[in-house]
Amino acid sequence: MKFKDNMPIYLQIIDHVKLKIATGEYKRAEKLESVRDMAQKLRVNHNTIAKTYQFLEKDGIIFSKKGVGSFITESEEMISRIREERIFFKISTFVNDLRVLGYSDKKMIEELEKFLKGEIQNG
Amino acid sequence: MDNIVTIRQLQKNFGSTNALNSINLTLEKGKVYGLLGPNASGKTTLLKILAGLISNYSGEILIDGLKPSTKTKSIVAYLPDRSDLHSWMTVRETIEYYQDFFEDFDVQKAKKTMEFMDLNDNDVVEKLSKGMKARLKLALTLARDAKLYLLDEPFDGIDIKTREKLIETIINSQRDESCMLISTHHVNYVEYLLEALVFLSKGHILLKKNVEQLKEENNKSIVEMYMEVFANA
Repeated sequence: MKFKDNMPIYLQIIDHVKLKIATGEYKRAEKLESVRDMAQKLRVNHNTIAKTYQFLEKDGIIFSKKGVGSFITESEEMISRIREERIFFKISTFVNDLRVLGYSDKKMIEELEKFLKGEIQNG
Repeated sequence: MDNIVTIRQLQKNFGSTNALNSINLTLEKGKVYGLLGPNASGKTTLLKILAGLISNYSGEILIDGLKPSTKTKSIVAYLPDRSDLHSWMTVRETIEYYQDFFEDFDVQKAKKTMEFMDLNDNDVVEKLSKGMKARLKLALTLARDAKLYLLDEPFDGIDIKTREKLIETIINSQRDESCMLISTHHVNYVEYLLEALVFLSKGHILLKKNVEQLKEENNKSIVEMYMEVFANA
């Protein structure tokens, strides 16, 4: 994982975990790497990972069983919410970017349809 | 008592040159600190004092409740910026030498780390490249079960692959009961490794702060912060 260097790492790892949940790479109730393993994998200070897990737990995205480890939420509702949040974010970024370029909503939909049909190409 | 190191009003002069001035600093267990600053800012002097190698300073220093002395040397693992290895020894002999020297030396850990570092038992120290020597030094230092690790410029003059190996080894060696203080001017290599930063300039502490907090407050990378802090120093 490549980090942006001007943003706290814990926020970036939270986002990384949420993305993996949204894409289904992390399954419901699946065991998460231990703090130590995750630190090693991402080459990040242990305390940073511990802090990340605390935040994820506070938000109900993961939960921990004492002495066993941390797990992805069991709540389907939470998983859908994480997916929807990400989809909303992607669509709103797309729409805002095109509005800045002066596209009307109608034009935006037309362009998107053309793109999906493969009618627009880069350059 | 989560502080491993407490420094109050530390001052050190070499003749008429002031090396460290009014240093107040506490270091906690379980944390990895970066000691950052340009050349001649006092980093090595501070580490040497903590390692018990310089004793004529003024001010108070406590390491796990004790003044730096031969006693604290048994709980402090120090990696000097210059090589202190015996060039004629093999890697195996060097391990044995360290084992004799330090009670807290963990031979199993040393061997495991040597393997990870691609060092062989029969390699002779003087024939090792600069990068391989850096690997050996770090492996030996971190194989001790110390309370305080002082690493002076562990990333100087090494190749990328060695750097990655050193970083991974440092992360694997992080423990809740011990503290690490790493001096470096390679800020960009280490920022994910560190929890807190101490910026030292001309013998003064300019700033001590949690890395994530620093980024959150400034939306800047540590390198940018470094440039800013030292621009006016």
